[in-house]
Amino acid sequence: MDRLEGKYFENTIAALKNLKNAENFELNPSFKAKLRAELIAGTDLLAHNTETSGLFELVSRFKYVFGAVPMLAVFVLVFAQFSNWQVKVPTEQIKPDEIKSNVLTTKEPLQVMEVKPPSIQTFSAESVMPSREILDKMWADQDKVVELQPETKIVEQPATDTVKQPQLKIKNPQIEVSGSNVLNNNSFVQVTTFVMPIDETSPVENHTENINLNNDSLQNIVSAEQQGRVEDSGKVVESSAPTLMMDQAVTLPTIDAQIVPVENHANTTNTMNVVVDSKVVPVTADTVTQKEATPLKAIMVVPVSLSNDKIIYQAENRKQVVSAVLETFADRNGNLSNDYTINVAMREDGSYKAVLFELGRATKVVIFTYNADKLVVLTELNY
Amino acid sequence: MKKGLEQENQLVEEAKQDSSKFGLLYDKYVDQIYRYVMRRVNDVEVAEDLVSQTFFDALSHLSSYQFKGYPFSAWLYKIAHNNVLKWYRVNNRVQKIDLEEIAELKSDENIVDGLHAQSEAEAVKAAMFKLDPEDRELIRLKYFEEVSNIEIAEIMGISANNVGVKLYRALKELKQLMN
Repeated sequence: MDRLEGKYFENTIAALKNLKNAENFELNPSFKAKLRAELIAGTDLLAHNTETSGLFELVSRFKYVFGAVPMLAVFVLVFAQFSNWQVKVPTEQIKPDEIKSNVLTTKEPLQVMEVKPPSIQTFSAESVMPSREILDKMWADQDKVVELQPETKIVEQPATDTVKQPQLKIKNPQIEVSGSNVLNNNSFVQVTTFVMPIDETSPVENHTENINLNNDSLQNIVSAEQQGRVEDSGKVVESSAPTLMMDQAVTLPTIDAQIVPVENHANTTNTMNVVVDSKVVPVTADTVTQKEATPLKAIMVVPVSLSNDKIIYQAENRKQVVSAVLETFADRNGNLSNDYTINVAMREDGSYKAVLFELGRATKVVIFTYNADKLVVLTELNY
Repeated sequence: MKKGLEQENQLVEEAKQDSSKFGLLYDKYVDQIYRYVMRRVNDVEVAEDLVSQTFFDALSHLSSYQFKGYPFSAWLYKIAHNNVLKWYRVNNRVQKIDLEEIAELKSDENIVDGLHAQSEAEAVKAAMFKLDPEDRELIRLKYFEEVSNIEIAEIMGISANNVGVKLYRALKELKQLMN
């Protein structure tokens, strides 16, 4: 304010005051008196107007609410109309894959994938057998497998003093049935064991041995219960007849284990005994001879290659194509996760039953026949 | 000053209870409000209408008036200020220089001092109407209505400190325009 009162604005302010003094705004006295009278007289009228205006204010305050009511009613009506509309989708546009269920069909997977491998013939399940019968038969197969489960008992390893063996590391021994030939009754089991010494500079030893098998009961090898389980790791599994007709005791894989060679039995070739610890007393199973062997009825199919929509297995020294067995389990590159294994067993009627296991649990069953280089998927079941 | 404000506030409180007391407030401020409105609109009839509207508004909203330490005139100025703005907004008009008033101003001057006063009044008026409306309103309230900065802040809805700054700038611009 001091700056405003200073000399800088002195002339300007003086000019403003002169202009103010020059003004002559006088209110008309009659208007002044009239307005005063109106104000005094209008006091009662104003009081009345105040009451009226209060009502109008109340209405105007809620005018948006009043306006929102019909709008809300319109929205409700429109929503009700939309909710009553029926959505009709032409049945021909519904792909079989979209209504995929546990119903067993043979054509649907191939149609959905639009893959028609030349070596595969597809038939409708109804033309082969009634679906109810298929289901009953499959469940009967499942029950049979359960019945054939070998009695396995886990033997706790006794503490015995033995000569300390050099520490070796065993990488999971891979026991796989590489192939079988039903025609000449020759079968073999391929046992691959990776032995890794403690000294990392030493080369890794890889032992692969083929064990000839010829036993009817060997089909149990492919049952789900025969799969290595984590909780059984490090324990010796004693198999009793008629399961593994080999003179061997197989130890489930452990990280640190020792290999104790045992003497081979005369009647069996290519035997191998792997135990977890040197303190374990080897347990041997009954001996199997060629005379006792019966035609092999169970095979394990080893996946050879995979593609997006089919998997090729090596079985009976031939390439077989099992479509849609692993379609949902292989990645886009066709690689099968280590979590999945597949077992294929021959059924009594000559067809094959492929069981897909996910972490040891059966998740899918596919029944197919194989004849003259052509594989026919009869049915499949997901569960 | 404080005593005068307290007496005025007492009168306002009585007017709230008895409307006839409002006449005393009207008598005290009607000329002041009329001049303020007249300077803004430069039209007698419009000014009378706006004054009438201002006092009727004050009477109808008197119950909501709260004493804040300012004179009652500040509240009346604020109502009048809003009514003038509303009038300009409704009529879509801009403030114009009343040429007839300037002519009357010229005719009233004597020969000796008249030339200087005439030229000065013309220059001030012309410069005033070249100012920004807000700056012009500040100068009017400050030097014509002689209202304090706090009251100006209350009337125009700005802070008191801002009033001083804006007033300084307005005067500076006015001086440049006059020169």
